[in-house]
Amino acid sequence: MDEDMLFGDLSDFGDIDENLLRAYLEGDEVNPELEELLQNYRHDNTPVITRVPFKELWENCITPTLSQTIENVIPLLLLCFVFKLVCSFSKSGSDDNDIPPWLIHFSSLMFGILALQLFFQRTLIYLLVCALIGYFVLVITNWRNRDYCGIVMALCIVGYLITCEFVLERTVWHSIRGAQIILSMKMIGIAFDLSNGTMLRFPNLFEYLGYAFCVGTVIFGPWISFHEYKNILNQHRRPLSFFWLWKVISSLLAAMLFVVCSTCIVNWLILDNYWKWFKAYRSAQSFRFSHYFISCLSQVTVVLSGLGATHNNDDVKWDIHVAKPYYIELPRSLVEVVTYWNLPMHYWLKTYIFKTTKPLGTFAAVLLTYVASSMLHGLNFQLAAVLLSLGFYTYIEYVFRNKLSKIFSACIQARSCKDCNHEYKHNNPYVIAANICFGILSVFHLAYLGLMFDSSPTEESGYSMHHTLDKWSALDFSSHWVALGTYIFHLLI
Amino acid sequence: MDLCLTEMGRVVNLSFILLTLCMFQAVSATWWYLGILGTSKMSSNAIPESSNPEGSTCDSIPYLEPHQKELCRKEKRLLDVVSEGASIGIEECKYQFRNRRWNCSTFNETNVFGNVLNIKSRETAYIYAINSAGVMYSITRACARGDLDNCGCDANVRQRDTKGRFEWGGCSENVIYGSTFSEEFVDSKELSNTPAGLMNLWNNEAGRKTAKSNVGLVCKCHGVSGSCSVKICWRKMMPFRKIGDELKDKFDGASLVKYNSRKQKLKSISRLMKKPTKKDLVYLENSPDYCEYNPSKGSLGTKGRECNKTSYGLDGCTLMCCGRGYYTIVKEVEEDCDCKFFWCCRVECKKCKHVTEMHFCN
Repeated sequence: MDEDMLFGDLSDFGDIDENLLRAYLEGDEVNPELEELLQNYRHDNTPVITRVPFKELWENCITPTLSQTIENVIPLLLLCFVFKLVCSFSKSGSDDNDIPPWLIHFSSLMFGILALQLFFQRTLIYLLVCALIGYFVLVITNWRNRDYCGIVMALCIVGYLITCEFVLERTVWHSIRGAQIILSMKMIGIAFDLSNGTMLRFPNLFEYLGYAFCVGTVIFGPWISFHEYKNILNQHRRPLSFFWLWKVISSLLAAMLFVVCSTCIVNWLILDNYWKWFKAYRSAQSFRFSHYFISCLSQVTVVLSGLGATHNNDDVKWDIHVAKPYYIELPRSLVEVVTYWNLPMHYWLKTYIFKTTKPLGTFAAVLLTYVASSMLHGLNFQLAAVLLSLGFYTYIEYVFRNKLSKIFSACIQARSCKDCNHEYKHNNPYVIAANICFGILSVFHLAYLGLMFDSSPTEESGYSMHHTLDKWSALDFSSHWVALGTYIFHLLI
Repeated sequence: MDLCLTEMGRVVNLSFILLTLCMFQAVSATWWYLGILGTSKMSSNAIPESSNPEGSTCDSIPYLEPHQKELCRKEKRLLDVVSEGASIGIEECKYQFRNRRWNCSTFNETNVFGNVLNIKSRETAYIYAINSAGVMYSITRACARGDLDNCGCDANVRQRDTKGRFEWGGCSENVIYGSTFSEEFVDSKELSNTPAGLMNLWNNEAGRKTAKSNVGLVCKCHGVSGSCSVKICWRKMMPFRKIGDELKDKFDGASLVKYNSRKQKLKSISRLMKKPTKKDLVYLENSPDYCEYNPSKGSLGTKGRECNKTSYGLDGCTLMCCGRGYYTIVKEVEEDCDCKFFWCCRVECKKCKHVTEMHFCN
């Protein structure tokens, strides 16, 4: 073996002792002088990072983002609107011309499947299978003992989710996970309603499938109750009005704004050479704006289908809100963030999970709620880690601030209290300052928790444990230490 | 009879010599020269209208291969785009090697880089790769700007079938067009059955692959709780410096290979060495020592090169001057300093004098 051919490229290192260099490269000897010399051969490769001009951002990022979003979303919106028109014909005046309800539910199912086909193509079969298995389980438990409907259904759904997590291909599962969450929530909701006695009449197959695949809520949500869904038969009470149009348009504009911010502006404002906590804030911010985009989009779809309103006598108020960004960006506390993140889901968790597990104690109930939430989101280490951390943080914050507010008799609780009998009300400057401090702490926690939802190669297949721990350890797990410190402090006082 | 045979023998000999000369000529005349000519156009972003009538321009250029001329005739503005690509390649090469003994020196000849190309060394590998990457980069950019006819964001172009589930917005077909066109243009003069040809083809592909990974689409997922229901993709043009840096790293780790004449392929020198990937650079011969002036090997020597006294690297005076020592010139430099802006609209600067030392190799 001609060794000179192996290290043939040593001619550059003109006057270095070749034997010494070879020994170093083979790992036999370590010579600190040589190391220092070789250290200086490395070029300073820090690239010059500048902000691209806005015109280039507009051409290369904002325009394709907007055009792609609109292209993807317009078919879905059209389907929702056509569905609303179909439902409007359900009661056209005289009873003879009524369209039978089962036809409306069936059309809801068909439109839903069409929408699923647009987005997910063949993988919609997994959602169909889940819904049918669920109905089968419902029928059987209803026949045996209605009281156990809820628990059995919950366990079945969890089992199905775990199976999907392991059996399906990562990218496929990650893409339908969103729709699967909504479907699971609907099914568990029906089951618990049956057990509690809130729903007296067992839903027939058409109603059930129409509810599960209602086009206004099947892809992006939001979760609506079965009772609200039945309003598709009452569309004559919800005519097309100016407020309805206003809600649709404003939500759509907000959604476009959020998607542009999330994809382009946030990465343009905070560059790669900023301090690492700013970069963490940037990733978390991009993720949050993406969530607001989806929330606003879901508002558009559900209102376009004629659902998501409340009736006040004869007045129809299209007041469904899925997320309230104001309370999350300028948070009072993490508890508020968690509430306003997804209002329908918060309601669902509170009604179906928290109230059911309350007999086991408050701490256990809170913990089980977060466990249920992470189960719903799939056995994803990243999401589970974030959610469980959030669970602990919210609990610690709640008890800590409660204790403090009792000690100082001030309105610094986790939730804002308007009619409380504290000494220092909410417009006292000290109270305001204290709330702002807690708010900044929440922003810090949010930046830490949200930073891993960035554009990395594993984005399409779900993030892995390694990715999560990597990102967190880059910030030295500081948020967890702070929370632990707060809890210990709380125990001491 | 005998006379006929010797006559034929002489003809055969002559034609053989002519053939060799022709092949030798083929190495020296290259399209890179467009980059040297077009260096002045580099400063402007837009490609100016070609002032020459179309068909005759392409045919009148002697250093293009027939296939390259044919491609030139297909695209009106191709010459400008290719010259821009060649000039950014050459400029990047000069930038990356500015601190080394061989500093990517160019000459005003048709083969631009001189005799360094005759040795199939790592430097040659880098030259081919960076120029190929430069052409692909500039073609892609020209497509995005709409300067070329056969690609870009026109309606009739977008009607082409898109592969994959998600509809790409913007113009992603530019990258594919840039890659295929660059491949056709740049690779057309290489013969794939010679060792030099194979090496050049490999390095061209490495350049293009690096350019492709840097002229890329970035995608972001949106969906309920971070799932991927909707994927939005957009273009992010990396600066060419990044491609140059990446290729420089590949240069540092280039693989020495040898030519297997039976299979007509390149293979690694030994079984123990890692097989080079398609993105790595390969070379067939060791580089000469660029210390001394040796024009047949393309080395200008380092005499008179400026060196940095305090650096330990290859640009330091110890290594750059190859132990010959250096001489120092002390200069008094007058510069503008303490500049102030006065309304309106002049800037007044004071003149500062300070003494600088510049070191040059012996």
